[in-house]
Amino acid sequence: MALDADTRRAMLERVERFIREDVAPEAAAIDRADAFPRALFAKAADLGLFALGVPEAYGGLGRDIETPILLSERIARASAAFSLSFNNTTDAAVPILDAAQESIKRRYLPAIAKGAAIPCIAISEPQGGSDVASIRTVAVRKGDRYVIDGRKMWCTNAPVGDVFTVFAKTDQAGGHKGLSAFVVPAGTPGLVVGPAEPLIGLRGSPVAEVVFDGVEVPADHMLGAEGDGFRLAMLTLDESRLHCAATALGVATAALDLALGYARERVQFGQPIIRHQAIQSLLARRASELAAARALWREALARLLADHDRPASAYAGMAKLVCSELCMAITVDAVQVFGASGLSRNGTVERLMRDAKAFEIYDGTSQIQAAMIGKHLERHGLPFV
Amino acid sequence: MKILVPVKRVVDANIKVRVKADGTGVETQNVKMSMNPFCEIAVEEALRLKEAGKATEIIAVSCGPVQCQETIRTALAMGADRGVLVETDVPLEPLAIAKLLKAVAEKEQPGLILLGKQAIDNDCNQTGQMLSALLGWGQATFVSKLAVEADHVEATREVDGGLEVVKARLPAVVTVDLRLNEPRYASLPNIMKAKKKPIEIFKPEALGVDVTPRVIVLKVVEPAKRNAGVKVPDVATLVAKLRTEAKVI
Ligand SMILES: Cc1cc2nc3c(=O)[nH]c(=O)nc-3n(C[C@H](O)[C@H](O)[C@H](O)COP(=O)(O)OP(=O)(O)OC[C@H]3O[C@@H](n4cnc5c(N)ncnc54)[C@H](O)[C@@H]3O)c2cc1C
Repeated sequence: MALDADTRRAMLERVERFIREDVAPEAAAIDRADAFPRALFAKAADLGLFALGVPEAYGGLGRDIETPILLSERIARASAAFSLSFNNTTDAAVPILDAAQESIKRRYLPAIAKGAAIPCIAISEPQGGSDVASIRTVAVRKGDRYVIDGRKMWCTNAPVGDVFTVFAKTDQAGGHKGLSAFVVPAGTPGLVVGPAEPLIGLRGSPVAEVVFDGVEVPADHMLGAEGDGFRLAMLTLDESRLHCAATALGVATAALDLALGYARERVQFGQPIIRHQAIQSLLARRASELAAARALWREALARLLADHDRPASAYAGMAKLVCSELCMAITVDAVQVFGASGLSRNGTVERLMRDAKAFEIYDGTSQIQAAMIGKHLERHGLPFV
Repeated sequence: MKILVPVKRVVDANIKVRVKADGTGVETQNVKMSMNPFCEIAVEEALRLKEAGKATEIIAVSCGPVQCQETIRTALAMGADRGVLVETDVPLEPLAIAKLLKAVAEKEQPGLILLGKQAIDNDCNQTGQMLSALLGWGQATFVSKLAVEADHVEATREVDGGLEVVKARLPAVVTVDLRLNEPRYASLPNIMKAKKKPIEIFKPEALGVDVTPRVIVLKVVEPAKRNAGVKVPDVATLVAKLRTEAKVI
């Protein structure tokens, strides 16, 4: 069922309240403890947040791409880590939705929609991060089963994950065409999740190594056919890059808002520092750039919704690149506006600055976004209408 | 037993209200509106009564402009069964609302009407009492605990001296206080389902009620600005200032 404007607004307002009353008060504690906020996740599940991306036939509210992306931005204004916990769950359902066999969809999607099962995506490896085609994890067919061996890194939500979509080579000589994707439930013998990696930012959104040591899954756990892996990874990436851009925008907006509030109050040399031209100009420029980035993100979203074509992919990359880099710059500036109190662990902007860096790295680094956009330009020209 | 729950659309509690430039009221254009928090408590109580098997149907009713449907939808998303909107753009005073609610009550024949004790916009605290008088039903106001029996309610009221317990025969009008319960939030699936629940719309004329305002607002002004306080270094300075500047001791 498509959401009408009134219902979407009612939902957004409801989630705003959840963010204000439940997420925001926890944000600093989530960062400090660097622990996945189980109770908050359960509240989000009760609210129905994870049902948004899933079709009604599988216990969801209808496949809605837009609302979760809008929500990522809103949640990120309060807690970037929780925004990632939320949107990684939405993104990780995408390959299952797109390509899983009916029986597999029925087994996993209703639990994902309820928030009872947390899905993760395992692509990156110690040797293969940006270079997805070079990954070494292999899946070998053995009768009606596949046996998976390899090591995955930086897998978001792995320490709390229930369903892993793992990308492995079924044809080692085939480059990216040799990639296939498999659904592996947690607890399958041979699947071992390492401890959460301590990161400087997005603390509380755990990432960990996942080892596949002779992990066997029935052949029906393959998503699509052999060789569909790369297409599925790219499909997931288009949506997840807009989530990443959304999260970056949320953090940037929160940082700029805090900096603005402080600049209006803090008096030096007899006047609020916002009246000092250097600060005034800095805030004015950043606000303008943020407005531009928001517009780009919205256009990228509109294109993805209208027609998931090549220019839409290029736009997703441009939005991810611009929003993440601007977020980094704005959070650094926000700390500057706050002076020493910006560095204080008792304040908020230092957390935003630490969180921001990850947006330039996950879902494809800035360099990789630029490379993909550049390739598009070379082959197809500017993506503008 | 049916329960009728009137719900009011007010400026959201988290919004800083601003007086209109012409001084005729507060700005409500492009301002976030929500259900009056006391009405949420009334809806919640009705839902709990239904869950406990003491009520069969919950009808949320709102009086005001067409946007009040959003407020009714909020009640429906919380779990009310259907809605009634009395639609009018005339600014409504408590007496007009009480008359409209009386007309709706006569149509619906509820066993209980649960209202918020007041609305956070004008703090009138009149509608429930007026409605009870117009209907000739018993009333219990400022209720912080409610027990519904077969033919009466037993209500605990918060009064200045402490707690007072009153009984009222059904049908009755009950207005609820803050501590009665903690209202639930609608889940997203329930917001979706609420879309399909029916809302009936009436005009005041169809109910035979004249809602013409009886009170004229002369002017609405912002409260006087308070000057920032001062910090004093010690108690002695404080006492001195209270004596010489504030002249209160
Ligand atoms: C918070 C977080 C969550 C993550 N979640 C997941 C997850 O859920 N699942 C998952 O599979 N992975 C996840 N990742 C991993 C992420 O996708 C990778 O870190 C990312 O793709 C980069 O890979 P890498 O870290 O191995 O860096 P590398 O690929 O080794 O890159 C190192 C540097 O070299 C640059 N570089 C590499 N190749 C080129 C090139 N061709 N041209 C120019 N520069 C280049 C990069 O831009 C970077 O600056 C996550 C990472 C983070 C930080």
